[in-house]
Amino acid sequence: MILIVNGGLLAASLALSVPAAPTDVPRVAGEPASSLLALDAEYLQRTRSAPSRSGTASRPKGSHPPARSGASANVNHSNATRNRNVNNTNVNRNVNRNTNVNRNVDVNVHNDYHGGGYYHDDWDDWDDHWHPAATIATAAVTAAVVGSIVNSVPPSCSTVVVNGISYSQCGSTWYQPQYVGSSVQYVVVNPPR
Amino acid sequence: MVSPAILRFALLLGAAPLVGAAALAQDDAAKPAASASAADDDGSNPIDPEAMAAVDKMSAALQALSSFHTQSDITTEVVLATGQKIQFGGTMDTYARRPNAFKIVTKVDGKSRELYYDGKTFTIFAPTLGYYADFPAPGTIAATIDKASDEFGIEVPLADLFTWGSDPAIRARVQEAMVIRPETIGDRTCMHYAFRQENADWQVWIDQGAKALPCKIVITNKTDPAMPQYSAVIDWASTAVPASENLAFSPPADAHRIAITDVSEITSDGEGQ
Repeated sequence: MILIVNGGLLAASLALSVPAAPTDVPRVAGEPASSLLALDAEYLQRTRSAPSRSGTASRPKGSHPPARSGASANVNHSNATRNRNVNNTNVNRNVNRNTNVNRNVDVNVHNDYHGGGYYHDDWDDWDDHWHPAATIATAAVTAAVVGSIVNSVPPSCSTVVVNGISYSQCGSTWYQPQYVGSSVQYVVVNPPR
Repeated sequence: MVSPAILRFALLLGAAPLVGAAALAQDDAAKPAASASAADDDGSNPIDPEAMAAVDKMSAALQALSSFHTQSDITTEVVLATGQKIQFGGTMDTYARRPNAFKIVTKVDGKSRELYYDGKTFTIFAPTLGYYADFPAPGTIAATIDKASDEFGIEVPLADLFTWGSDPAIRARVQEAMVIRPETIGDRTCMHYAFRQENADWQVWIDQGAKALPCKIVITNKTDPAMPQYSAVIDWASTAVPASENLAFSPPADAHRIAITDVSEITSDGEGQ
């Protein structure tokens, strides 16, 4: 399984293991862990003119294709109706992002097509950590790059308050949760002192 | 026997209409799709005044409520990169007290949020995660909805309930309007109307009873070719929120306050650069 961090760098080190907690692979903000694979699948599909199977073949069990947009819960009060971002529609932008080392993390990666602000940009960030791959072996992250962002953290992580700031601690990795739109994202930070 | 000259003449005659047809077809293709809609093919007004009058009446009924509480059954859709649409259902409770308070509780499978506005502060809370964040809010519901959307990327769902009738510019966005027919929603008889705007098609069912309040709203987002839809069947549980009902946020003991990102510079055309 490939984890994409910081707009395309591979995570520092990935170790294949039988997971203690199967959801130990955090999903990267705006870029579900499958996105590179999904793009590969799209590419294969195009070049082979294969029947539409949209990435299911090469995507690890239990992961989802990334979301590109969502319904708008307003007629008049959404980015769509205000004509923002409409000219930015470019699904291929994700490709560039993945190869751009200096790109800042993807707070708006799914904004491209977006009609509904941030309401559903990260459809993988379910509050309850429900995951269909609960029984399969997966990769465990042994270190995460400071500054990278994930959409969710394992349920085993605990919230710790240090100097008035809330952190989510997952073993030796510390995250600082923040709202981006209506989604909570987790930024990897150095352990607070 | 036909002379070659006559044959050429006939060919020319035959060819001319073909060229003409091709040119016409090209003209048709060059026209924007919007202007080729059925509504104005016969020269009639694409905006049925009766439909606009109904929305005006509904807007006035909404604006006349100094407070209200609705319970809605909602469905919403996510579009995957593949174009596939995934639908989720849920409920939404909206409490509002004009001009400066609301409490909106959405329970959608996988993602529940609570939005609070008390005249001074806007708060978003994820009850399952236990995280909340806030920003200083302007003095009115309408200005707060704008700020949440423009600066923080938070779409207040069905904000239209607050804003219809408040701004002529909103009404002016309608490009086409029509009356469908009376329909039954639960035990209500509601007239069905359909509208088109640049980035959204929308439908509203308006109660034919004493109060012209919306029974149901469907919004089709046209900025994505997959056109995801949002649907809300609205029950006006009580049209008034008791003065004693506290709409302000008070964090549960185990909730944590976290930061919120100003997305205004990211979402405009700078795109984060």
